[in-house]
Amino acid sequence: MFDVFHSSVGFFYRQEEIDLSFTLMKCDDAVYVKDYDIEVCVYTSQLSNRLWVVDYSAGFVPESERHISESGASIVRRRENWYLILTPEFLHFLEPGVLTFGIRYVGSSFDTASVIKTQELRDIRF
Amino acid sequence: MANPISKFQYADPNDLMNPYAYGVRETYCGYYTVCYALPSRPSFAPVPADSITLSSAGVSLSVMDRRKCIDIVSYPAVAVSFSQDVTSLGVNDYGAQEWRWYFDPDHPDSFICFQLVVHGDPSDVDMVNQCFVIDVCPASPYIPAGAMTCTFSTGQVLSSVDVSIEATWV
Repeated sequence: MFDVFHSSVGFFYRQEEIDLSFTLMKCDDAVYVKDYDIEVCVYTSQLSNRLWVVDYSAGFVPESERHISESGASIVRRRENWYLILTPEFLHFLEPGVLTFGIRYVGSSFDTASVIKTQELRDIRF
Repeated sequence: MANPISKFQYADPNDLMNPYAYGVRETYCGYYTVCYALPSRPSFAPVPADSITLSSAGVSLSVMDRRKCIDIVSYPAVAVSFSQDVTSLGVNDYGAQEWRWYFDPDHPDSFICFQLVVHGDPSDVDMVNQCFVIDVCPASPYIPAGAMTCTFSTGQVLSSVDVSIEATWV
């Protein structure tokens, strides 16, 4: 919808770490990261694996609904943004394709989602 | 809620617009995500908790004592709000945010001037040193009594200072 992706990095490669910064906005203001839980579903095509990276430290998502993070990926919270770190160990399980993130934010008064298509994840840099 | 800006409007408080620009900017007010791909992993130094420390909780001004400064140490930098109507002048020639309180409509050449100055460059992890200057401007021969509460906010914590103006005639 109004989600935005910026990059000057070029293609992503499965054997190289991918570092991304995310900011949840409302109007022109950043929403404080500590005010919500984060779930990220990572995939590269409709039929590719769905891999999860999650951080429930805000405590809004009930235990029964929680996913488990795959190894090799992590979320690092800052004050107004958060980082998603995807290492080759994690990327190894994704087929080449357009790297896409389905993100769910759960706070005390909202449960909202974004889908961000980024750029192509390639197999090997020659 | 959408926030339309007229194509003939000169500026909004956040960014300057060309007065001859054509078009209308609408602010989308749902939730959305901004994502940046980074060239390398950022450093993850610990982020301090939000805090505000003021050098004083209250100041008093008069014609004979017309300028006061409050030192502010905070994380991150503060925004200021006022208990009475003020006019924002944006960033002035000295790099400070400036507001004016025209306390008496019959004396538009007399006002109280508030300026917020940031010392150094605010970073992602460092405390921010600021100075909040309150001036009786210009050399006003007449100042009515008045009071203002200035509230500083990081978005998560608040701190206030009470400013009292002593009535003076020359």
